[in-house]
Amino acid sequence: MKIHVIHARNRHLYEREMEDFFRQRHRIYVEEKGWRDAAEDGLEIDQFDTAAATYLIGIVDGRVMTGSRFVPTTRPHLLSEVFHHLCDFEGVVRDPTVAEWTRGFIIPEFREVAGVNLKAQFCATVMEYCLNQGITRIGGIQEIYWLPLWKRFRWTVRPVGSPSLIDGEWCVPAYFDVSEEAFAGAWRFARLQESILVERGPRQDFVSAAGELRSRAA
Amino acid sequence: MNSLDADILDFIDRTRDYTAVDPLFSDFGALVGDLGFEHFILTGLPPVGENFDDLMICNRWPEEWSKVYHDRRYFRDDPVSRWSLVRRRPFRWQDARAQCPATARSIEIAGNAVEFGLADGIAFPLASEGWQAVMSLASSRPLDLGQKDEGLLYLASTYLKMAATDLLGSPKPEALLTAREREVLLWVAAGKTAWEISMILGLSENTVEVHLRKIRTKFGSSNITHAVVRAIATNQLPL
Repeated sequence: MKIHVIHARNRHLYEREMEDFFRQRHRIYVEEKGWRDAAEDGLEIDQFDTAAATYLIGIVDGRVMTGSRFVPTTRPHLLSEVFHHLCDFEGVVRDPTVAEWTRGFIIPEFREVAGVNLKAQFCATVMEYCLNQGITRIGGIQEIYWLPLWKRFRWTVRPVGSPSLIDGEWCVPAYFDVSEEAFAGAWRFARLQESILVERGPRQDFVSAAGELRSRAA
Repeated sequence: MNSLDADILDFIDRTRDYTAVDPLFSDFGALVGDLGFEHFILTGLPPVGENFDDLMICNRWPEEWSKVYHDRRYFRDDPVSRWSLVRRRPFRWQDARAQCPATARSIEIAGNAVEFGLADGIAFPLASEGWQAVMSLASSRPLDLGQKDEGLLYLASTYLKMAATDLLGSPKPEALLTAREREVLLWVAAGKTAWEISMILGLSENTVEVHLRKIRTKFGSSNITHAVVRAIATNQLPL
Protein backbone atom coordinates (compact mmCIF):
# COMPACT_ATOMS: atom_id res chain seq x y z
CA MET A 1 0.00 0.00 0.00
CA LYS A 2 1.09 3.57 -0.66
CA ILE A 3 -0.35 6.60 1.09
CA HIS A 4 -0.88 9.47 -1.30
CA VAL A 5 -1.11 13.11 -0.29
CA ILE A 6 -3.86 14.81 -2.28
CA HIS A 7 -4.68 18.51 -2.13
CA ALA A 8 -5.93 21.33 -4.35
CA ARG A 9 -2.68 21.56 -6.30
CA ASN A 10 -2.33 17.91 -7.36
CA ARG A 11 -5.91 16.71 -7.22
CA HIS A 12 -6.12 16.71 -11.01
CA LEU A 13 -3.81 13.68 -10.93
CA TYR A 14 -6.22 11.73 -8.74
CA GLU A 15 -9.75 12.34 -10.02
CA ARG A 16 -10.59 8.64 -10.22
CA GLU A 17 -9.15 7.88 -6.79
CA MET A 18 -10.96 10.82 -5.22
CA GLU A 19 -14.27 9.55 -6.54
CA ASP A 20 -13.46 6.10 -5.15
CA PHE A 21 -12.57 7.76 -1.84
CA PHE A 22 -15.91 9.57 -1.57
CA ARG A 23 -17.71 6.39 -2.60
CA GLN A 24 -15.97 4.46 0.22
CA ARG A 25 -16.88 7.23 2.62
CA HIS A 26 -20.49 6.79 1.58
CA ARG A 27 -20.29 3.05 2.22
CA ILE A 28 -18.91 3.61 5.66
CA TYR A 29 -20.36 6.85 6.94
CA VAL A 30 -23.80 6.55 5.38
CA GLU A 31 -24.46 2.85 4.90
CA GLU A 32 -22.49 1.38 7.77
CA LYS A 33 -22.58 4.05 10.46
CA GLY A 34 -25.69 5.96 9.40
CA TRP A 35 -24.07 9.29 10.27
CA ARG A 36 -25.37 11.05 7.19
CA ASP A 37 -28.20 10.72 4.70
CA ALA A 38 -27.70 8.82 1.49
CA ALA A 39 -26.61 10.81 -1.54
CA GLU A 40 -28.07 10.07 -4.95
CA ASP A 41 -24.69 9.78 -6.58
CA GLY A 42 -23.37 7.46 -3.83
CA LEU A 43 -20.61 9.89 -2.82
CA GLU A 44 -20.25 11.23 0.72
CA ILE A 45 -19.07 14.81 0.39
CA ASP A 46 -19.69 17.51 2.98
CA GLN A 47 -19.19 21.26 3.31
CA PHE A 48 -15.61 20.77 4.51
CA ASP A 49 -14.41 18.93 1.40
CA THR A 50 -13.12 22.14 -0.14
CA ALA A 51 -9.87 23.31 -1.66
CA ALA A 52 -8.69 23.82 1.91
CA ALA A 53 -8.75 20.10 2.62
CA THR A 54 -5.80 17.74 2.26
CA TYR A 55 -6.39 14.01 2.02
CA LEU A 56 -4.12 11.12 2.91
CA ILE A 57 -5.42 8.13 0.99
CA GLY A 58 -4.08 4.58 1.05
CA ILE A 59 -4.16 2.97 -2.37
CA VAL A 60 -3.44 -0.62 -3.34
CA ASP A 61 -3.55 -1.64 -7.01
CA GLY A 62 -5.48 1.50 -7.83
CA ARG A 63 -8.12 0.82 -5.15
CA VAL A 64 -8.77 3.08 -2.17
CA MET A 65 -8.28 1.03 1.01
CA THR A 66 -8.02 3.67 3.69
CA GLY A 67 -8.13 7.42 3.97
CA SER A 68 -8.74 10.51 6.03
CA ARG A 69 -9.01 14.26 5.71
CA PHE A 70 -7.08 17.19 7.17
CA VAL A 71 -8.58 20.66 7.38
CA PRO A 72 -6.59 23.57 8.82
CA THR A 73 -8.22 24.87 11.99
CA THR A 74 -7.78 28.35 10.55
CA ARG A 75 -10.50 27.45 8.01
CA PRO A 76 -14.10 26.38 8.68
CA HIS A 77 -14.10 22.88 10.12
CA LEU A 78 -16.48 20.63 12.08
CA LEU A 79 -15.39 21.93 15.45
CA SER A 80 -15.61 25.59 14.47
CA GLU A 81 -18.88 25.38 12.56
CA VAL A 82 -20.92 22.60 14.13
CA PHE A 83 -19.48 21.88 17.57
CA HIS A 84 -17.98 25.18 18.68
CA HIS A 85 -20.21 25.22 21.76
CA LEU A 86 -18.32 22.18 23.00
CA CYS A 87 -14.96 23.95 22.96
CA ASP A 88 -15.55 25.58 26.29
CA PHE A 89 -12.11 25.31 27.85
CA GLU A 90 -10.31 27.93 25.77
CA GLY A 91 -12.58 28.44 22.79
CA VAL A 92 -12.11 26.96 19.34
CA VAL A 93 -8.47 26.23 18.52
CA ARG A 94 -7.37 28.33 15.52
CA ASP A 95 -3.78 27.64 14.60
CA PRO A 96 -2.15 27.04 11.21
CA THR A 97 -0.13 24.18 12.72
CA VAL A 98 -3.21 22.43 14.11
CA ALA A 99 -5.35 20.32 11.77
CA GLU A 100 -8.76 18.78 12.15
CA TRP A 101 -8.42 15.12 11.25
CA THR A 102 -11.67 13.47 10.28
CA ARG A 103 -13.50 10.94 8.10
CA GLY A 104 -10.84 8.31 8.74
CA PHE A 105 -11.66 4.77 7.66
CA ILE A 106 -10.38 1.40 6.56
CA ILE A 107 -12.62 -0.39 4.09
CA PRO A 108 -14.35 -3.43 5.62
CA GLU A 109 -12.64 -5.96 3.37
CA PHE A 110 -9.29 -4.86 4.65
CA ARG A 111 -10.14 -4.65 8.34
CA GLU A 112 -10.22 -8.37 9.05
CA VAL A 113 -7.31 -9.34 6.85
CA ALA A 114 -4.79 -6.75 7.84
CA GLY A 115 -5.31 -6.47 11.59
CA VAL A 116 -3.40 -3.78 13.37
CA ASN A 117 -0.66 -3.54 10.73
CA LEU A 118 -2.75 -1.56 8.30
CA LYS A 119 -3.95 0.88 10.89
CA ALA A 120 -0.40 1.21 12.18
CA GLN A 121 0.93 1.82 8.67
CA PHE A 122 -1.67 4.49 8.08
CA CYS A 123 -1.19 6.18 11.47
CA ALA A 124 2.60 6.12 11.20
CA THR A 125 2.37 7.72 7.77
CA VAL A 126 -0.03 10.35 9.09
CA MET A 127 2.51 11.27 11.75
CA GLU A 128 5.30 11.22 9.16
CA TYR A 129 3.34 13.65 7.00
CA CYS A 130 2.57 15.91 9.98
CA LEU A 131 6.19 15.96 11.13
CA ASN A 132 7.34 16.80 7.59
CA GLN A 133 4.80 19.60 7.34
CA GLY A 134 5.32 21.08 10.80
CA ILE A 135 1.77 20.24 11.91
CA THR A 136 1.84 20.11 15.70
CA ARG A 137 -1.56 18.66 16.61
CA ILE A 138 -4.35 16.76 14.85
CA GLY A 139 -7.79 15.88 16.08
CA GLY A 140 -11.34 17.01 16.46
CA ILE A 141 -14.38 15.35 17.99
CA GLN A 142 -13.35 12.02 19.51
CA GLU A 143 -15.46 9.24 20.98
CA ILE A 144 -14.29 8.86 24.57
CA TYR A 145 -14.67 5.09 24.36
CA TRP A 146 -11.89 4.77 21.77
CA LEU A 147 -9.40 7.16 23.39
CA PRO A 148 -7.47 4.45 25.27
CA LEU A 149 -6.80 2.48 22.08
CA TRP A 150 -4.56 5.23 20.73
CA LYS A 151 -2.26 4.50 23.65
CA ARG A 152 -1.17 1.38 21.80
CA PHE A 153 0.68 3.67 19.42
CA ARG A 154 1.91 5.81 22.32
CA TRP A 155 -0.23 8.68 21.08
CA THR A 156 -1.11 11.38 23.64
CA VAL A 157 -4.36 13.31 23.44
CA ARG A 158 -5.67 16.40 25.26
CA PRO A 159 -9.29 17.54 25.55
CA VAL A 160 -10.09 21.13 24.59
CA GLY A 161 -13.69 21.07 25.75
CA SER A 162 -16.25 19.28 27.90
CA PRO A 163 -17.57 15.83 27.08
CA SER A 164 -21.05 15.69 25.62
CA LEU A 165 -23.45 13.13 24.26
CA ILE A 166 -23.69 13.15 20.48
CA ASP A 167 -26.25 10.69 19.11
CA GLY A 168 -25.98 8.69 22.32
CA GLU A 169 -22.16 8.49 22.29
CA TRP A 170 -20.01 10.38 24.74
CA CYS A 171 -17.62 12.53 22.73
CA VAL A 172 -15.03 15.17 23.53
CA PRO A 173 -13.15 17.68 21.38
CA ALA A 174 -9.50 16.67 21.68
CA TYR A 175 -6.21 16.86 19.82
CA PHE A 176 -3.39 14.34 19.47
CA ASP A 177 0.15 15.63 19.84
CA VAL A 178 2.33 15.18 16.76
CA SER A 179 5.73 13.88 17.83
CA GLU A 180 8.56 11.56 16.89
CA GLU A 181 7.35 9.31 19.67
CA ALA A 182 3.88 9.13 18.16
CA PHE A 183 5.42 8.28 14.81
CA ALA A 184 7.68 5.61 16.31
CA GLY A 185 4.84 4.18 18.40
CA ALA A 186 2.78 3.45 15.29
CA TRP A 187 5.79 2.53 13.12
CA ARG A 188 6.63 -0.23 15.58
CA PHE A 189 3.51 -2.15 14.54
CA ALA A 190 3.63 -1.18 10.90
CA ARG A 191 6.04 -3.87 9.64
CA LEU A 192 7.39 -1.59 6.97
CA GLN A 193 10.96 -1.31 5.76
CA GLU A 194 10.59 2.17 4.36
CA SER A 195 8.20 5.10 4.01
CA ILE A 196 5.02 4.59 2.01
CA LEU A 197 4.21 8.28 1.76
CA VAL A 198 3.82 9.49 -1.83
CA GLU A 199 3.63 13.12 -2.94
CA ARG A 200 3.02 13.39 -6.66
CA GLY A 201 2.90 16.52 -8.74
CA PRO A 202 2.93 20.08 -7.36
CA ARG A 203 3.57 20.28 -3.62
CA GLN A 204 1.48 22.21 -1.12
CA ASP A 205 2.83 23.36 2.20
CA PHE A 206 0.01 22.70 4.68
CA VAL A 207 0.98 25.25 7.30
CA SER A 208 1.66 28.18 4.98
CA ALA A 209 -1.52 27.44 3.02
CA ALA A 210 -3.39 27.52 6.35
CA GLY A 211 -1.70 30.74 7.37
CA GLU A 212 -2.31 32.46 4.05
CA LEU A 213 -6.02 31.84 4.17
CA ARG A 214 -6.28 33.29 7.65
CA SER A 215 -4.58 36.54 6.68
CA ARG A 216 -6.71 36.73 3.55
CA ALA A 217 -9.81 36.33 5.70
CA ALA A 218 -8.60 39.05 8.06
CA MET B 1 -15.45 26.48 32.76
CA ASN B 2 -16.91 25.58 36.15
CA SER B 3 -14.89 24.18 39.01
CA LEU B 4 -15.44 20.49 38.25
CA ASP B 5 -14.28 21.07 34.68
CA ALA B 6 -11.11 22.65 36.04
CA ASP B 7 -10.56 19.86 38.58
CA ILE B 8 -10.93 17.18 35.92
CA LEU B 9 -8.66 19.01 33.49
CA ASP B 10 -6.01 19.45 36.17
CA PHE B 11 -6.31 15.77 37.05
CA ILE B 12 -5.86 14.82 33.39
CA ASP B 13 -2.71 16.93 33.23
CA ARG B 14 -1.40 15.40 36.45
CA THR B 15 -1.86 11.84 35.15
CA ARG B 16 1.11 12.39 32.85
CA ASP B 17 3.48 13.11 35.72
CA TYR B 18 2.98 10.03 37.86
CA THR B 19 5.74 7.45 37.86
CA ALA B 20 3.94 4.97 40.12
CA VAL B 21 0.36 3.77 40.19
CA ASP B 22 -0.49 4.09 43.89
CA PRO B 23 -0.29 7.89 44.08
CA LEU B 24 -2.15 8.04 40.74
CA PHE B 25 -4.98 5.90 42.11
CA SER B 26 -5.08 7.89 45.35
CA ASP B 27 -5.32 11.11 43.36
CA PHE B 28 -8.29 9.70 41.45
CA GLY B 29 -9.78 8.40 44.69
CA ALA B 30 -9.66 11.89 46.17
CA LEU B 31 -11.23 13.39 43.03
CA VAL B 32 -14.20 11.01 42.98
CA GLY B 33 -14.37 11.01 46.78
CA ASP B 34 -15.19 14.71 46.65
CA LEU B 35 -18.15 13.84 44.46
CA GLY B 36 -19.51 11.33 46.95
CA PHE B 37 -17.93 8.16 45.58
CA GLU B 38 -16.15 6.59 48.53
CA HIS B 39 -14.98 3.48 46.67
CA PHE B 40 -14.04 2.44 43.16
CA ILE B 41 -12.68 -0.47 41.23
CA LEU B 42 -10.89 -0.57 37.88
CA THR B 43 -10.57 -4.01 36.41
CA GLY B 44 -10.31 -5.93 33.20
CA LEU B 45 -13.14 -8.38 32.68
CA PRO B 46 -12.62 -12.00 31.73
CA PRO B 47 -13.88 -12.98 28.29
CA VAL B 48 -15.01 -16.27 29.83
CA GLY B 49 -15.42 -17.44 33.39
CA GLU B 50 -15.59 -15.36 36.49
CA ASN B 51 -12.08 -14.80 37.63
CA PHE B 52 -11.05 -11.21 37.14
CA ASP B 53 -8.29 -11.27 39.76
CA ASP B 54 -5.65 -11.62 37.04
CA LEU B 55 -7.04 -8.62 35.24
CA MET B 56 -7.47 -6.35 38.27
CA ILE B 57 -5.90 -2.95 37.81
CA CYS B 58 -6.94 -1.07 40.94
CA ASN B 59 -9.14 -2.36 43.73
CA ARG B 60 -10.35 0.33 46.11
CA TRP B 61 -13.35 -1.67 47.30
CA PRO B 62 -13.51 -2.26 51.06
CA GLU B 63 -11.35 -5.33 51.57
CA GLU B 64 -14.09 -7.28 53.30
CA TRP B 65 -16.49 -6.65 50.43
CA SER B 66 -13.94 -7.87 47.88
CA LYS B 67 -13.56 -11.04 49.92
CA VAL B 68 -17.29 -11.64 50.18
CA TYR B 69 -17.73 -10.89 46.47
CA HIS B 70 -15.01 -13.37 45.55
CA ASP B 71 -15.90 -16.12 48.05
CA ARG B 72 -19.60 -16.04 47.28
CA ARG B 73 -18.95 -15.75 43.53
CA TYR B 74 -21.15 -12.74 43.05
CA PHE B 75 -19.66 -11.90 39.66
CA ARG B 76 -21.91 -14.25 37.72
CA ASP B 77 -25.13 -12.93 39.27
CA ASP B 78 -24.37 -9.24 39.77
CA PRO B 79 -26.34 -7.20 37.19
CA VAL B 80 -23.61 -4.55 37.24
CA SER B 81 -20.96 -7.13 36.31
CA ARG B 82 -23.18 -8.62 33.62
CA TRP B 83 -23.75 -5.23 32.05
CA SER B 84 -20.05 -4.32 32.38
CA LEU B 85 -19.21 -7.27 30.15
CA VAL B 86 -21.49 -6.34 27.32
CA ARG B 87 -22.17 -2.62 27.47
CA ARG B 88 -20.04 -0.08 25.73
CA ARG B 89 -21.59 3.04 27.18
CA PRO B 90 -21.61 4.30 30.79
CA PHE B 91 -24.53 3.05 32.84
CA ARG B 92 -25.86 3.57 36.32
CA TRP B 93 -26.12 0.66 38.73
CA GLN B 94 -29.82 1.46 39.16
CA ASP B 95 -30.45 0.84 35.46
CA ALA B 96 -28.59 -2.47 35.38
CA ARG B 97 -30.47 -3.62 38.46
CA ALA B 98 -33.84 -2.43 37.19
CA GLN B 99 -33.45 -4.07 33.81
CA CYS B 100 -32.08 -7.43 34.89
CA PRO B 101 -34.69 -9.83 36.28
CA ALA B 102 -34.49 -9.74 40.07
CA THR B 103 -33.36 -13.00 41.61
CA ALA B 104 -32.73 -14.02 45.20
CA ARG B 105 -29.03 -13.77 44.40
CA SER B 106 -29.17 -10.30 42.82
CA ILE B 107 -31.18 -9.04 45.80
CA GLU B 108 -28.66 -10.59 48.19
CA ILE B 109 -25.79 -8.95 46.32
CA ALA B 110 -27.40 -5.49 46.38
CA GLY B 111 -28.32 -5.88 50.05
CA ASN B 112 -24.84 -6.96 51.10
CA ALA B 113 -23.28 -4.19 49.07
CA VAL B 114 -25.22 -1.63 51.10
CA GLU B 115 -23.86 -3.22 54.28
CA PHE B 116 -20.36 -2.47 53.06
CA GLY B 117 -21.14 1.10 52.03
CA LEU B 118 -21.82 0.53 48.35
CA ALA B 119 -25.45 1.49 47.92
CA ASP B 120 -25.42 2.93 44.45
CA GLY B 121 -22.99 3.70 41.70
CA ILE B 122 -22.07 4.24 38.09
CA ALA B 123 -19.98 2.11 35.74
CA PHE B 124 -17.81 3.16 32.81
CA PRO B 125 -16.93 0.33 30.41
CA LEU B 126 -13.52 1.09 28.97
CA ALA B 127 -11.98 -0.19 25.75
CA SER B 128 -8.96 -2.35 26.26
CA GLU B 129 -6.76 -4.53 24.11
CA GLY B 130 -8.54 -7.80 23.46
CA TRP B 131 -10.98 -7.59 26.36
CA GLN B 132 -13.40 -5.30 28.15
CA ALA B 133 -12.48 -3.30 31.25
CA VAL B 134 -14.66 -1.29 33.62
CA MET B 135 -14.33 1.55 36.12
CA SER B 136 -17.07 1.24 38.71
CA LEU B 137 -17.64 4.06 41.20
CA ALA B 138 -19.64 3.39 44.36
CA SER B 139 -21.48 5.68 46.72
CA SER B 140 -23.02 4.94 50.09
CA ARG B 141 -25.98 7.13 49.11
CA PRO B 142 -28.37 7.15 46.15
CA LEU B 143 -26.73 8.65 43.10
CA ASP B 144 -27.13 12.38 42.59
CA LEU B 145 -25.09 12.98 39.48
CA GLY B 146 -26.02 15.22 36.56
CA GLN B 147 -25.32 14.21 33.00
CA LYS B 148 -22.59 16.79 32.51
CA ASP B 149 -20.69 15.55 35.55
CA GLU B 150 -21.17 11.99 34.34
CA GLY B 151 -19.33 12.91 31.15
CA LEU B 152 -16.51 14.53 33.10
CA LEU B 153 -16.12 11.44 35.30
CA TYR B 154 -16.08 9.27 32.19
CA LEU B 155 -13.26 11.39 30.81
CA ALA B 156 -11.33 11.27 34.09
CA SER B 157 -11.76 7.47 34.32
CA THR B 158 -10.52 7.10 30.76
CA TYR B 159 -7.40 9.13 31.48
CA LEU B 160 -6.79 7.22 34.69
CA LYS B 161 -6.92 3.99 32.77
CA MET B 162 -4.58 5.31 30.09
CA ALA B 163 -2.04 6.42 32.68
CA ALA B 164 -2.33 3.17 34.62
CA THR B 165 -1.86 1.19 31.41
CA ASP B 166 1.32 3.17 30.72
CA LEU B 167 2.71 2.63 34.18
CA LEU B 168 1.78 -1.03 34.44
CA GLY B 169 2.34 -1.85 30.83
CA SER B 170 6.11 -1.72 30.57
CA PRO B 171 7.39 -5.23 30.87
CA LYS B 172 9.98 -5.97 33.50
CA PRO B 173 13.30 -7.02 31.94
CA GLU B 174 12.78 -10.65 32.98
CA ALA B 175 9.42 -10.64 31.17
CA LEU B 176 10.68 -9.53 27.76
CA LEU B 177 9.91 -12.05 25.04
CA THR B 178 12.35 -12.99 22.32
CA ALA B 179 11.25 -12.64 18.71
CA ARG B 180 10.73 -16.40 18.45
CA GLU B 181 8.70 -16.46 21.65
CA ARG B 182 6.51 -13.66 20.31
CA GLU B 183 5.97 -15.63 17.13
CA VAL B 184 4.95 -18.76 19.01
CA LEU B 185 2.63 -16.80 21.29
CA LEU B 186 0.97 -15.08 18.34
CA TRP B 187 -0.02 -18.51 17.00
CA VAL B 188 -1.28 -19.54 20.42
CA ALA B 189 -3.39 -16.41 20.47
CA ALA B 190 -4.72 -17.44 17.05
CA GLY B 191 -5.89 -20.71 18.57
CA LYS B 192 -3.19 -23.08 17.30
CA THR B 193 -2.04 -26.12 19.24
CA ALA B 194 1.63 -26.81 19.96
CA TRP B 195 1.66 -29.46 17.23
CA GLU B 196 0.13 -27.07 14.69
CA ILE B 197 2.64 -24.39 15.64
CA SER B 198 5.50 -26.86 15.20
CA MET B 199 4.23 -27.56 11.67
CA ILE B 200 3.77 -23.87 10.87
CA LEU B 201 7.21 -22.82 12.11
CA GLY B 202 9.10 -25.94 11.05
CA LEU B 203 10.15 -26.84 14.60
CA SER B 204 9.81 -30.01 16.60
CA GLU B 205 6.80 -30.13 18.87
CA ASN B 206 9.20 -30.50 21.78
CA THR B 207 10.89 -27.23 20.90
CA VAL B 208 7.54 -25.45 20.82
CA GLU B 209 6.71 -26.88 24.25
CA VAL B 210 10.04 -25.57 25.55
CA HIS B 211 9.21 -22.11 24.23
CA LEU B 212 5.76 -22.21 25.83
CA ARG B 213 7.24 -23.21 29.16
CA LYS B 214 9.76 -20.39 28.96
CA ILE B 215 7.01 -17.91 28.13
CA ARG B 216 4.86 -19.04 31.07
CA THR B 217 7.85 -18.72 33.39
CA LYS B 218 8.63 -15.23 32.19
CA PHE B 219 5.14 -14.06 33.09
CA GLY B 220 4.72 -16.25 36.12
CA SER B 221 1.61 -17.70 34.49
CA SER B 222 0.16 -21.07 35.35
CA ASN B 223 -1.44 -21.33 31.91
CA ILE B 224 -0.62 -20.03 28.47
CA THR B 225 -3.84 -18.04 28.14
CA HIS B 226 -2.80 -15.91 31.06
CA ALA B 227 0.57 -15.40 29.40
CA VAL B 228 -1.20 -14.18 26.24
CA VAL B 229 -3.09 -11.68 28.38
CA ARG B 230 0.11 -10.47 30.05
CA ALA B 231 1.91 -10.19 26.72
CA ILE B 232 -0.87 -8.04 25.30
CA ALA B 233 -0.97 -5.92 28.45
CA THR B 234 2.77 -5.25 28.17
CA ASN B 235 2.51 -4.35 24.52
CA GLN B 236 4.53 -7.32 23.38
CA LEU B 237 1.85 -8.94 21.32
CA PRO B 238 0.17 -6.67 18.84
CA LEU B 239 -3.10 -8.24 17.73
